[in-house]
Amino acid sequence: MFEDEKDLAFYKLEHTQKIYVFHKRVIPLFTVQSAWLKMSQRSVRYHSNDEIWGLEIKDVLTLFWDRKTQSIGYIKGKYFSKKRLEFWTFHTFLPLALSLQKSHTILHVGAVLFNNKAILFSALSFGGKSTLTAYFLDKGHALLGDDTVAIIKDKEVYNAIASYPFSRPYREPESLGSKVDNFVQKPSYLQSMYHLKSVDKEAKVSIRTLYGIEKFKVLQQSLFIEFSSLKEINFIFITDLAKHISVYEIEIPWDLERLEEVYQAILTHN
Amino acid sequence: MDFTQNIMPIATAFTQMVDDELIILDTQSENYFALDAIGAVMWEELSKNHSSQRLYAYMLKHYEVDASILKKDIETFIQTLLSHNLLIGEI
Repeated sequence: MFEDEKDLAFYKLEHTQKIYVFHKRVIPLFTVQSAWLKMSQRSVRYHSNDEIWGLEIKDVLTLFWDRKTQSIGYIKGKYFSKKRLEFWTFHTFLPLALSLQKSHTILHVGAVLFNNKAILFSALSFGGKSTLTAYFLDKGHALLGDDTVAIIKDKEVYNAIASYPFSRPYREPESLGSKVDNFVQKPSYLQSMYHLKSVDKEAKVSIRTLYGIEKFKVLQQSLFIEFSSLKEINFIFITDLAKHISVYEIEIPWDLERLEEVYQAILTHN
Repeated sequence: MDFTQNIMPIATAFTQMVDDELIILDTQSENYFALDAIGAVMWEELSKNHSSQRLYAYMLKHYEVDASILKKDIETFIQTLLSHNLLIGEI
């Protein structure tokens, strides 16, 4: 919830606590910083001290997570805009912060509801997960996330928690995409993940079940972040998740005209 | 290969079974490895007994296998794991 930008959207999901975002004028004193790296076509770097962890998006803004107050602060850069604040907060910073505080495991996947259960779509970058997610939305399925979802274990089952109600099938830099009304607000039982593998446009759609290391790798590669400090926790989490959900590889012909075929294949498969 | 020397998995390896494969995370190199069901049994035995000789005896007792083939397979198994720094000990 953006305390100083009231016209920006906020989303309250069941099960999750409210997180406040405040405009700050003084940047915290950070003791450690990373090298610059590329993210969403911007140069970014991480900052941290004992209590605060931050992400600087060069000349746009610096976001920081205060562990004590569980809130987000930001400092404006010369190319700051409210839309960029919204994008970087929801798309990048919040998933990073939730992962680092170890309260949720965030997967970089598309996710929709299917027969009241969550199914996830993973792929390499530009592998078509947002496009397929958008196709499912057009068919009336509810959205859990176009780019990320949080996964939590509740007793012996895993649930997917929605991220933000936007869909971005075609990449537009620093944009969350179009608002989606059919959005899931409560944790949903996680049934399966489909890993999308693009194949020749003439190839047939096929689905196979993944086991063992193949299954583990697909899940592990879908983690939103893999910092060294989280390696062991993520390993335990992903191997346990692998014991509870089904993971499939689906070969998808690289042809938008054949998305209906892909959709029908997943429908039949379930 | 000298089967009398002690040998064991490294202390920094985390393992979990997924289906019938043992997934190994080496927290030092941050690499992942996988062993099939038989490899998982061999890893488990090395973890318990720290001895390739005992591993050999255990496998010979529990699996129908030719002794010379088993010895060769254990050598290959250990050499492969050593090459990935997943075992420590002298052989």
